[in-house]
Amino acid sequence: MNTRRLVSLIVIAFALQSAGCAVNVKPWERGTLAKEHMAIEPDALERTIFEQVVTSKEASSGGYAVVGGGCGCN
Amino acid sequence: MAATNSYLRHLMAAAVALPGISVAATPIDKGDVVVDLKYVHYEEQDDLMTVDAEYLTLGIPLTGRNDLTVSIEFETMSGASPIFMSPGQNGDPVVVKSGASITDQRTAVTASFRHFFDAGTLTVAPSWSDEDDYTSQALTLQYEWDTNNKNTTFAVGVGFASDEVWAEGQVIRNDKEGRSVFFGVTQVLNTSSLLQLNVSFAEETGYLSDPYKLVQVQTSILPDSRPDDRAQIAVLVRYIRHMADDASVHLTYRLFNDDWDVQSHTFEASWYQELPGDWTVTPSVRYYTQEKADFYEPYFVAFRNDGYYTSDFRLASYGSVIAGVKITKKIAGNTGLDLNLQYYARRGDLKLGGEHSLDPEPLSSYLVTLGIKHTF
Amino acid sequence: MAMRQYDFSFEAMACVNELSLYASNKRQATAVAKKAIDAINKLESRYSRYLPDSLLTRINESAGDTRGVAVDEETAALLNYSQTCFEQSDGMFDITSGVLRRIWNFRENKLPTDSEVADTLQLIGWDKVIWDESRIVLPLTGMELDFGGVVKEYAADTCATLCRDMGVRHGLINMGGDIHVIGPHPDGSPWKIGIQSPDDPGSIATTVNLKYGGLASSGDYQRSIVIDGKRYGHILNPKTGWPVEGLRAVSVVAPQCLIAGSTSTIAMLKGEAGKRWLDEVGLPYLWFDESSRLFIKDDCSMREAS
Repeated sequence: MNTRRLVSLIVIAFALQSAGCAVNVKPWERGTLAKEHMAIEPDALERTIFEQVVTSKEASSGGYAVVGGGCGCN
Repeated sequence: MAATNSYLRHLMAAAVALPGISVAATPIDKGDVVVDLKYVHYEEQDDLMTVDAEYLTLGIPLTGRNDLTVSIEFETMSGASPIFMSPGQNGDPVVVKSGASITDQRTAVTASFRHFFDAGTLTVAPSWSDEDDYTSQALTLQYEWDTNNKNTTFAVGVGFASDEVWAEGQVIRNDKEGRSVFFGVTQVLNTSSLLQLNVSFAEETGYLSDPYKLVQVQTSILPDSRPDDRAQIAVLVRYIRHMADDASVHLTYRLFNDDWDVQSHTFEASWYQELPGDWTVTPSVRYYTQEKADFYEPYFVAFRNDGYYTSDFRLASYGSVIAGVKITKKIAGNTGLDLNLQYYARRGDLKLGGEHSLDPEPLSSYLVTLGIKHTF
Repeated sequence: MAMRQYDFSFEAMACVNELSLYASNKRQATAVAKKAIDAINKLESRYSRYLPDSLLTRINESAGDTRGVAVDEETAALLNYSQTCFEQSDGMFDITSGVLRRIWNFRENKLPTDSEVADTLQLIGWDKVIWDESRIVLPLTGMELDFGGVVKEYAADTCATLCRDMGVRHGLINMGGDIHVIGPHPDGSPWKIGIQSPDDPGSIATTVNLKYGGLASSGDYQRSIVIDGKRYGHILNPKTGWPVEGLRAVSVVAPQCLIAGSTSTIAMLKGEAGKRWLDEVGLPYLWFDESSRLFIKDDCSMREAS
């Protein structure tokens, strides 16, 4: 497991996030951001189903924040 | 239609900045019940595995600032399954499959309860799943809040799962437990883009092997044996940007690592394109590459000191691509129809760089999802 | 714990207003009403054009002074909201257009002269205003801001938010036709709101049933000048300085009274084009056309009322 690479990835990503904190989009400018397909998951159920399908074929899971429990994917 | 909805969007966004206008996240509007129904069909080539599933999600407002979302899933799985691999000619692995087609049915329920505080939203979601050889009970808790004029959103969550695994017909059932913790930050970058970063840690303990699978070690056939604990970390970065003419692009990268030596990279890209007449077309592509677990081999020529063996291709080194297109149509403002067609291809040599596992049976399959969503 | 309806009548913003709310007893109802009415009065004292020491008057008196006036967060948000309306209405909704009232005198039945209109137009145009999110500058002497099309609806919303925060679940605030329904009657039935007929102000043309949200109306039939049989209404185009022609009256329903009000005003200002524009916005509405025929669009589709 390459922890060093993992840690530097997290650090870079957080640095990008902090740079973003300097930006302040006023609520009245949010028109575009409020569009349905600008949501993190425009179709939450679709993402749940998709993650169930791929995790039954892959060794990886997590990261997508899908709420819900275990499955029979041994 | 897009331009006029734009008028309302702009005004509502501006109104929300006024102190006299309530800003708190609203639960499902009082009197609004949301129903989401999806039918899924998954089929692999050569009748390897077929899955048919129906999902029903119901969103109901409750008194006070609460709502409840109940999800129910019925799934039927059938097909032949790989059991182990044996050396064939030239030492190339040959897959030995289960003879008859197995049929397994699964039912799962998740009840997600949300309470809206002024400061943030709390979600409590217990879930249960039941099938012929596996049962699971799990609980997820999540708290989400905004800062910075709603430009930054934080989420933290914990999850607990308690499962039982056995092979159909076996009397003794094995226990498996999982704990996970999740952190997420979503940051608005400017008026047309945002960035998300999620990190999740999970640990599983107990019986983590597959009770149906076997491994060939020299001339012996042994049961699939994996360590009784596994720690994993996943880091996901997502970038969403609005593109001219009512479209947006979603780019995602996820890095995964665990202490079985599995490492993977997932890249996803989707393009959402609005079209006249309330249609949206979304082509998408996903590339996945994985490094094998240290105790994976198609078959073993030597015994291992730690006694761990698996020939489950799920833990091998390989790459896969999924490409698909989704079409949605909105009707009368409160009904949506969607159709999603995806093609999946897994092959050892699709892996990124380095050595890949020989894939004796490259997999190709398709996934069709048909859905309807209605707000009452 | 049976709830009873308590009604409170009060004058503010040049109207007789009524707050109706359900509470367990009179003491509770009065406590809520007092806070709500105080909030409305506070908004009037800051944004009324008529009060000599209001913030708005101070801004208007600073016209011509390039230093302008520094404003607080609420005023900044109101100005930004007004700017959004200006942008989203192709410049028809313009809070600098109030100065037209100086040359249009509906009581004397007299039309302004062309040069009066031309001179006044020089002082109109939100794009002439300097607004940097903290200071507002009216560069030309004689320019004025008028929150008339915004503050009464905002007051109705503010009152509703306050009542909800204090636990009121059933009630309504009516500020001279700008309405925000806090919640339906305790039995779940909606409030029945009568819409005045433009031809016969005493009678009700139709009733709107509302459980939550705002209703606001704009109409052109109350004040007008008639000369040689031609009617000049009081809704004036800020780009030409002359009255618009098209709808006689519009009522719009939206989650906020503020948005309902801006939408009904912009629909009227767009004249004939307002009909199609309003239909595309997607909010429920009703309108009376030039012949006073009534068209209603609720959640499903538009239909002519019989």
